[in-house]
Amino acid sequence: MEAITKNCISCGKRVSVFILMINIFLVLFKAYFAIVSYSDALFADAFESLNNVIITIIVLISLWITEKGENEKFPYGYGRVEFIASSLANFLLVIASLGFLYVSVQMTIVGREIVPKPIAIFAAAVAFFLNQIAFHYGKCPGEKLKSPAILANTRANKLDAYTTLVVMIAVIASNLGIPRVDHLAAILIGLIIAYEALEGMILSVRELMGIPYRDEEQKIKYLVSEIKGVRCVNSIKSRSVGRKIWIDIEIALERERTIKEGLIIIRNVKDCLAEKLNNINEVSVQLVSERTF
Amino acid sequence: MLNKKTNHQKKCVLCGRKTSWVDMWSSSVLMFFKLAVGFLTGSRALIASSVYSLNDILSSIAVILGLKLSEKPVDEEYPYGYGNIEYVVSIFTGVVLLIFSIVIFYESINVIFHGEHARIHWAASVAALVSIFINEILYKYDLCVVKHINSPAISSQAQHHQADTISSVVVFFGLQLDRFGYYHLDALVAVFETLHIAYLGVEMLYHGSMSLMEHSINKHKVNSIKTLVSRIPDVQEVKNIKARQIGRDIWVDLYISVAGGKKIDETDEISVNIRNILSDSIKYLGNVHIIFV
Repeated sequence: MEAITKNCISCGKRVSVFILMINIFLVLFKAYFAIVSYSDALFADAFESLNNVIITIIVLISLWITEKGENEKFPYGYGRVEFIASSLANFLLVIASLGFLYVSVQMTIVGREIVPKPIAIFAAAVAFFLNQIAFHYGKCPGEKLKSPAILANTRANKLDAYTTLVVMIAVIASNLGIPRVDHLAAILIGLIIAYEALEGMILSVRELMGIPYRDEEQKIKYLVSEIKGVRCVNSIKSRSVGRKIWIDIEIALERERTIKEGLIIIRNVKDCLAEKLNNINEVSVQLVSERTF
Repeated sequence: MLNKKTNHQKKCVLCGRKTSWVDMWSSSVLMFFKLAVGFLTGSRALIASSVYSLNDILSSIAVILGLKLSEKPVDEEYPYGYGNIEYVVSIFTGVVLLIFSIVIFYESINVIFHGEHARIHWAASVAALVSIFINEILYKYDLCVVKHINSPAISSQAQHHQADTISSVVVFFGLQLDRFGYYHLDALVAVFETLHIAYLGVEMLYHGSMSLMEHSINKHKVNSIKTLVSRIPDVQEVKNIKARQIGRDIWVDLYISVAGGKKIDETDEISVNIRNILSDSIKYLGNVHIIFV
């Protein structure tokens, strides 16, 4: 299991660098064809890819930081940087989508005067294809590593693919003489992007605020209650410290137990949880005497 | 004794909140005023100056939220409390400041190199004077409040107003020299303002991120906690301390060793003792986890 994780980690970094290359290429590619084909929509879409370049850079920096182990300065490790990266990435996406919405609404009102050349359709198709590659390639390490930063990044590519699809529809519709369908589709897509990005942002912010992991807490309560010597599990608190969870648990022992015996029980608790659950970073166990009421 | 402390704390919170509301509304009016006059007169320096007022608004909101939520105790939804919200607001404020500074920087550079000089209407100078006047009043008001309730949040708000005053003074002088034919000085002032705003943004991002990543409190405080706890008779050794700041409160994970033969109900007393000693010497103490190792 250790070997797979190590491979996954270096894969995650490699994939993110690859996605950065794709995004940089997309900015230049879309901008060039937008100018050549006189397509406003494609030009606006190039800005979305520029936004994704920034997001990927933020993600890469966070991946580099997250690996550092805990130390005196950061006693709980550096893992939470990924939630910060994910919050900011999604925030930038919200702003980008609002910008895209603004441009779409403006174009709906002002109306298009120049019909973009069909070459824009080819460019949009290629861009769509590349974004899909980026999205699918990033999905695996994101999910395997449970990395919020990589997942935020792949979301950005997925949404870029959708907006490029709209641009393609827009150019086709324009060339066929149907003026409004593309603008309405653009507004709809803009709203969907804004909603999804906002949702992603709120999720990451909640992690930073320390929402509990209730499923894990239930499992832990059950497992620990079964351990010899544990009279009662008084309380469990859980929070994310990045990709894994930190557990603060308070257990009650018989009054007459010694600390030496208590330490053995703590060891048993930790071993049991390490064996049965694989997403725990650390379990910090407090001991109190069982209270009789 | 406990009641007196709570009443005083309550008064502090109410006073701090009132001050922040006054700050927020005044800064909002000032921001829109500067923006409007800036756009109408074409003074980029004035537009950049409105971002300082935006910073004032966002930091007032952070204070209001922080004060409101710091009253909320830990609950089931957020077992580690709500203190981190002020850092979350801080990082988003930092990003917003960065975005505005980049946009205005780009605009101003454009004006310097490609723009045609148009004399800026005297209304801009008046707006700058109004900004100096209002910010000075708010600065003095905040300082007075700080003297009475000693809130670091209000103190930093006072500093923001001072920064706004200074920037408005520079804008004013830039506008006067503009009349005497020093073309593009207004845009140059705007460039310097945006650089400073970008610096403020990065600073907020940095400090907010450090806290959200559960950065350790400063070494001196950690050492004084270690000394205090080591002095307690039954504590053999303080093996490790992890201490972080959540909002205003300091949360501590104490790893201590005691004599192996001690019974659990004896160690209960030791824990109570430790908590009492720490809460006597640390003004804003969150939870203390005592972990025997």
